[in-house]
Amino acid sequence: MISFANILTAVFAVGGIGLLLGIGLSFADRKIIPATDYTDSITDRLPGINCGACGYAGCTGLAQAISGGTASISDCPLLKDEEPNSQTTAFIACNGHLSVSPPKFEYQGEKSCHAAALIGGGHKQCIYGCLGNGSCTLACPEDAIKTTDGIARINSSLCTSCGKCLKSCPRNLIKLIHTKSTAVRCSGNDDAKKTRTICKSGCVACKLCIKVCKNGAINIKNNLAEIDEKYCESCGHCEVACPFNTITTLPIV
Amino acid sequence: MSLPIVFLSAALVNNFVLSRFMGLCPFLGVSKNLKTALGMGAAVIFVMGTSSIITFIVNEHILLAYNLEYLYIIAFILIIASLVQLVEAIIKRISRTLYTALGVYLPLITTNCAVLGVAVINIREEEFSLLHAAVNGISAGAGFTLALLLFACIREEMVANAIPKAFRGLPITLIAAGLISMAFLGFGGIL
Repeated sequence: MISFANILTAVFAVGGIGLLLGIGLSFADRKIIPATDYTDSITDRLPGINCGACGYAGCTGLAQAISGGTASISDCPLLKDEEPNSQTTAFIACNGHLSVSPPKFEYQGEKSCHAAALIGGGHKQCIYGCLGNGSCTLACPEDAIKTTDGIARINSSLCTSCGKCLKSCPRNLIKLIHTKSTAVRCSGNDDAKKTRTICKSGCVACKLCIKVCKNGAINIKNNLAEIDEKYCESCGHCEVACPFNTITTLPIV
Repeated sequence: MSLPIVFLSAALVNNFVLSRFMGLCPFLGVSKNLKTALGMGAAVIFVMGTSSIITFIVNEHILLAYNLEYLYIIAFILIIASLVQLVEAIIKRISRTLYTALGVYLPLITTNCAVLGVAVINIREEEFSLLHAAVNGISAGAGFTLALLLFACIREEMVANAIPKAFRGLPITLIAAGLISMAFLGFGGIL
């Protein structure tokens, strides 16, 4: 015959053991070994309702895939409606100045990027990179773009984000991004080997940036790292991690 | 019962996998290569050793003291599950590759009958003290690791051989397991 007191003892005994073990586990989880990947902090940014709409086994599954570089945080269909930061600036997605990416021949024609792009695929070795002939400099009404050392550079404090330079670039390198964000200064889709031979600052898709991103905001597409501005906190960890100085945190001085 | 005899008994004569046929799931599941087998073995030794000590204490001072012996399975599973969680967290942070290689077999230690078996045998043996229980747990884990490593070596060699189609995969694995098990019967006369 089991009395009420017996049941109570049983509940307290097993519950007590469970509670003690639980406390021990959570203590061990924090103290024993520091985390080396950011799956947990990425999971915190996801909705956490495990709906499975992304195609992974719950939010942790997606976070693991993001941390491993096989998915991007935009794969989560529920996170899409966040308010974007409204202040933007123009940004040139290329860092191929003359000392990192020497030209394949000397161009002596009209000072226009459109004209230069027509001859032999452009005088730069990289078919994606900035030609440095200053079409965007001419297009900019605020004088915010300077072309020196074979590459255009934008002074984001002068930029009004009018978007005129976007159309002036024959290679579509200029885009509008948030004034306080982190971006990849490369647009090349070549593989790592080719990229390294033609430009020392090109993205080789090594995924080092993905590994250090706490928010899972980085993704590789066509041999090129992509930073999702919606989730980037501009902490600068990827800028430090990038071995080729390809990633930069705005504003660029 | 002296401690060396407890050790020999748990590790060889009454080997949990090959003589008592407990914990066969990870035995077949993670014995495909030596490195994974070693990681699994280390995890099992840790869980078996620690759980033997904790379950023995809990049984003595909580379950027996308050007449709750009938709760031993649920209490032991609770303890084993927590230890497995701890091991899982550690392995996940030390070696992501090992964590992926062990896959579902790591959390499955929770429901591994060999681990629960050690804990239950510890409290069933009349003359066991806490020290006996600890030695029994660690040597049972060592026996499990030994079986796993031997079997992993055999399976690594087996891959390269021309095996008749009907026996490829699981059938030949089970036959090999049976043969090792018979070999372990030879330890029977030691004690």
